[in-house]
Amino acid sequence: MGDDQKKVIARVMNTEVDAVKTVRDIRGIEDLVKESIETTWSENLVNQMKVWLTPYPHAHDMAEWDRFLLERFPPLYTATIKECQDCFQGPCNLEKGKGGCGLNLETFQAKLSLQSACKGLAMHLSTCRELLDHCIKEFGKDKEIKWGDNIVYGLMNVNILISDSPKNLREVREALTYAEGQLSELLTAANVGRENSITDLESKVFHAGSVLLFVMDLTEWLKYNFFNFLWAPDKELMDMPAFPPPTTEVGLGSVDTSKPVLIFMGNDFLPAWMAVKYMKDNGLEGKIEVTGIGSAGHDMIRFYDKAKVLTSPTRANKVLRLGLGDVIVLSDTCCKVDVPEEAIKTGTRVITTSFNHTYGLDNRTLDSVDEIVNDLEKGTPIVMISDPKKAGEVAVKLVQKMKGKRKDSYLLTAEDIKRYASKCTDCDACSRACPASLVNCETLKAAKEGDFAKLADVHEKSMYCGKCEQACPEGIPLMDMFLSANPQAIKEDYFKMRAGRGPITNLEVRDIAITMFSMPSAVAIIGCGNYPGAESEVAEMAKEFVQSNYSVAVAGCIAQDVARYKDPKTGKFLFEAYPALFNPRCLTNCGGCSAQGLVATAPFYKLGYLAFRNPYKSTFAQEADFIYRFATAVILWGPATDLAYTVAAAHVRAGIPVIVGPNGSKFKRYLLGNKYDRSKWWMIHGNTEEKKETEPTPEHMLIPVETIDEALALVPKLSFTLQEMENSRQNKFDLYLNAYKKRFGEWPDDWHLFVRKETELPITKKAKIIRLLEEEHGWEIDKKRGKILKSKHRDGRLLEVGEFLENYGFRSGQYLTGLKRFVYKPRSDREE
Amino acid sequence: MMLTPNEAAKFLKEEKKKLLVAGSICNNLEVGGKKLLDYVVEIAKLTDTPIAATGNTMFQLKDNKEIKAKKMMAADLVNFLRVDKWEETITPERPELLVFFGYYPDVARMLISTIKNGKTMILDNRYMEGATYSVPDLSFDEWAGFLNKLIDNLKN
Repeated sequence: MGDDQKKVIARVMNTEVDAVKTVRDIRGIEDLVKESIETTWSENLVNQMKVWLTPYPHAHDMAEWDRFLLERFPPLYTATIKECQDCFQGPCNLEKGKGGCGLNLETFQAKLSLQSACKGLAMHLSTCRELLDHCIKEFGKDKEIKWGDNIVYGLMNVNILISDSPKNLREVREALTYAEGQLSELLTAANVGRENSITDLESKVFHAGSVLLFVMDLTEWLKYNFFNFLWAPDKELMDMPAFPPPTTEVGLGSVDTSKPVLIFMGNDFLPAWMAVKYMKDNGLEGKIEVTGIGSAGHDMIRFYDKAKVLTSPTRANKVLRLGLGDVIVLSDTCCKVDVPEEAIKTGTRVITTSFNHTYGLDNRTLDSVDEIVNDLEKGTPIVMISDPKKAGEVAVKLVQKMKGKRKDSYLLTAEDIKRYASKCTDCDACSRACPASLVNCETLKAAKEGDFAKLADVHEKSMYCGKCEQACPEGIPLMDMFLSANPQAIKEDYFKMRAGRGPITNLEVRDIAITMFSMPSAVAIIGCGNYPGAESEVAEMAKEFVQSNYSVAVAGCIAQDVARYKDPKTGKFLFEAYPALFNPRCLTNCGGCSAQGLVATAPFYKLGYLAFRNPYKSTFAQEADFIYRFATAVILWGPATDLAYTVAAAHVRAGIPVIVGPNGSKFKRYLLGNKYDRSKWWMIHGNTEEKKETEPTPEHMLIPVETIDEALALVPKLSFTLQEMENSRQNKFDLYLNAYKKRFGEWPDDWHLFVRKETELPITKKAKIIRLLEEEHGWEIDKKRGKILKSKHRDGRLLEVGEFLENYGFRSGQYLTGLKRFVYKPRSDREE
Repeated sequence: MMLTPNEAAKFLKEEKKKLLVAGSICNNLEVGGKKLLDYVVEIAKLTDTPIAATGNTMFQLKDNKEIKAKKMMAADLVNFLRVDKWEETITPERPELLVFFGYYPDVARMLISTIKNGKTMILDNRYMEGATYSVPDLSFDEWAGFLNKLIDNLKN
């Protein structure tokens, strides 16, 4: 854009701003930029801070913030692929030096990282596009969309990138076109002969994450507007704690097998929505068990209160081997491609609806419903029907006809189990194949003798990936044996949860703004939730956090694992025991996969505006700089899919530390800080521009853990903030020390790095802390009064308490920032 | 390099700057009638090697006065190893041999892939390409035999 661009004046109270100078290129978005400034900037801000907006950003528009993060948390790559085969010049062994294109091993890992992120973004982009096209066909492109009564800012992951939320389907299409353009640009950058710097590639990984949450928000919006999904912003605040009621049934034991059982699996809920509509129109409600695996299940329960969630996608083999469903309808699924192969073993009929899962079949959308039903009933195992309406109707009609034509139970008898176990030759191939080391020849030795306890234990912890079965040279059907070892466990697999409620409302954010100075933190537990280990672990983790007064929000398939706890004393499930608010000591479920952007980033963007008047329209870096200084953490639990990888990147870029586990070891890179390297821990004083050393917090932005105990111990530490009130720090300090002591038997070795003044120390541990500061860390103490006289700085100086505070961190209430651009300065002093 | 118990013992005896890294499986798994953690403790005592206890293993080691152990996050450990200045207090100097024990194969693979300036040894029962030294693929019985023989060799 040339210097001759005509001025576009935005007026904020009595101050005029030339909007042309606030963006890289204003052409075509003049009104949008002007409106963003006039509605969200205050006169104070406009006068003291350089206004810079990034509407419809490319990755590079946010590179300034990304570099701040990547310099402090340099990527640690763990991928083991050392040979690049991406182009005609290869293959190149990068361990031996640069490849033909000039790429070295580390940059290659960054390129793989970007490829993963692009795949993660593409997954939801494709689902959203399919949904949008359907909505435009059904309702027309000018159909207006609403936001909900208590949500006045629109969708925050959308606002933060493009300044405004779409108001009709045409505008949603424009927004999605922007996202599709970004994906294409990012994929190009991940191609041969493009970016050649780790920082630039990882900045683009972050961008893929931000765009992913943007797309997820659009998807959520369509679901609410056109498919009656539950939506908390429609409720009055007084009704929200109980909304929705914790009555959704979860687990294999929730299914009434005396009725025909219909299962939906995949990310596209449309076939399920159509099936439910057909049932309601034909008086079949309640006569058919409508169930879901994974995302489809979590979406269905937001529009059909009789729907049930069975399990997560990776554990789908459990459902399939049990032969639980008479009919299974597949949409765009994650994790499993061999569903038909498994379903055929129990005679479950399969309808596939996605153009991404065609199984070499012809599309039968043009055939009549009765013709397709007839073929399936007579024995055709699988058909493809791309029209969700027809697929829904076929499914409902077929499931009624299939009932009673299959066996009552597909479990093995005790004799069968013993017979198969006796085929074991003690080779332990199963053990070596199992990603979680759950099964070995000892398991089968015991089973041979009629002791099925070890098999039952594997059932409890297994993901049912089937690798053990594939590895067994004797062809022993191990998964069938785990399932059959304790049939009672299947009946007892029964829990209750709240269905997803959509976004966190402004009213809840307002309340948390008031309480945040005394609460420990907000924590979001998201992800696929299917992981090897006890199924109740995630629920244990959620329980610990909520009982420690955290505000706990969940989203994704993990919600059904959070449900897996029942208090032995009260008999209440976890979702029954706590109110559904985004407030301390509350537990709320925002929804399925596409709701993952609603649990942490969106409410904190709102918090930035409500509590600190941080503008939220195309001001990504400004909001991230704010969140980075405040307390929240995300736990991403479950398999390290490309989607999870991209979701993690999105949260990191927004300034939110992410803990991944236990499958997070498969993430290709981590973003770890080094607490020993003092040069990395600084912030800029928001008024004086002075760069000051701080505590090493948040210490990491993306860290893997092995166990839930490590996650529980890390969250309080990662939630320490640089601008904390005293009682908040006391609270978190106490939680941090207690978590270590309880779980590892000792205090952490770095607690002293977070001591600044006595009033921030937990009361019950104050005496011990002060004694240890003197004995082990060289602080000067008045023993008689139990007071700190002089504090030991990390540079070795012994300083008066006040001087120490000036030299280590910031006083409460002081404004600080990571970027020089955000320093408050009178407009006249600035070089514009 | 694929290890025999004799070779493992030899390398453990020869290397002065070494660190045992005990992962979350150490608490859960029994091999040859003993907890994996018991083998770790025995090796630590015989070779005078500190233990970086990751996962939940520290809880079982906290009262054992015969060894030096410290709770660490596995990711932290490998992160500290990638900078020149070694400031982690678990060992006075940067360890030159890291002995991993009690990790799921994916986790072990991830950890060793990050170590560029040191040697790695895997004592779990799955061969780990990329490690400097690794136990071969073994059944549980064979693994117990390997570990017992290794300990016998360390005693002699």
